[in-house]
Amino acid sequence: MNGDGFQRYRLRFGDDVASWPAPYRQYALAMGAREEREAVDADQALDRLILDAAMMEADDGALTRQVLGRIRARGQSHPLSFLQQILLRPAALGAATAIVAVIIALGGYQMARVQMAHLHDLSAEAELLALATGAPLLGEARGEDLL
Amino acid sequence: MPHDPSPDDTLLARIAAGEQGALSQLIARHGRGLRVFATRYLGNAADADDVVQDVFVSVWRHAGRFDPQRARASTWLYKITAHRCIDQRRRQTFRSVVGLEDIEDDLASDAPGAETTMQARQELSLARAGIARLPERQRMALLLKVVADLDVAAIGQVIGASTGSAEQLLVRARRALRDHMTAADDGRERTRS
Repeated sequence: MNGDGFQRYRLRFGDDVASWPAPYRQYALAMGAREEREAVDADQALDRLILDAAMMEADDGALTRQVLGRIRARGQSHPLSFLQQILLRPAALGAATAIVAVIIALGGYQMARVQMAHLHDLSAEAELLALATGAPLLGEARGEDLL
Repeated sequence: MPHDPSPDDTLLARIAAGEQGALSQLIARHGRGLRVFATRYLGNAADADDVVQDVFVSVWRHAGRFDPQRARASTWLYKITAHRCIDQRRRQTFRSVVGLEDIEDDLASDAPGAETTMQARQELSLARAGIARLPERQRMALLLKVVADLDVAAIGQVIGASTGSAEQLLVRARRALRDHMTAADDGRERTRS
């Protein structure tokens, strides 16, 4: 049975090869198995080509040395705490100091702003009180009235 | 029914107990395969070396987490490697986008000893180019099949897909590779005539 024959019998007996009558069924199943085998063989041949293409020469000993080197390097730094690591590295220490200085400066600036705003509110309030009680509004005396 | 531990299972148990010699043996067994897989997936030998070294450092630290009841040791190793490769690929893309790196193949020592004839060399070269051009998931699935010799279910486990999806990725990858090679052959024929 060839491909054309298979199509002819398929039209005659239907798509389900298992329901075909003998001996057509056996021929059709054998043909399907052969095609499947050929497809598997073709895949296997392609896979073999891909494997050959992918392979590279490599120094396995070098990989082992590099991995063990990494483990040793990380093992030495591992017991140290994060703070100790920072303190032992000048660049990290400098960066950490700079960050702390910036945070302190920003914090101080923010606190000063809040205090100034508070004083300004007090000043405006005292000025209104002075006006309400009929006191002269003297710029130079304002600070003394306030405090 | 409990199965006999494989040589890899035994090695991982010894690594978990802190035996460095067992790690060396595991590297001798799987180092090359993982390196080939990572190199062909990433298209960059230096990045692949970095990934594979990192994988074995992770294995050294976390071998105790391996559960032989859940997966084969090789599937576990390739899963770790695949995830590291995906992370590395993202970094490569980022470096490429910001102009720090050109993602081009710089594979060292590409020539296996079997490449004796000009035709075989050309065929292997075409196959390499075809692998490099495959979409990432297809490339990963194909390399897991061909290089790692994982079955379809294990490939699905590694790439986080169903068995059916893994099978589909393999079918598409092989088809794309065949198309690539046929197109290249046709191009060569036209050039000759």
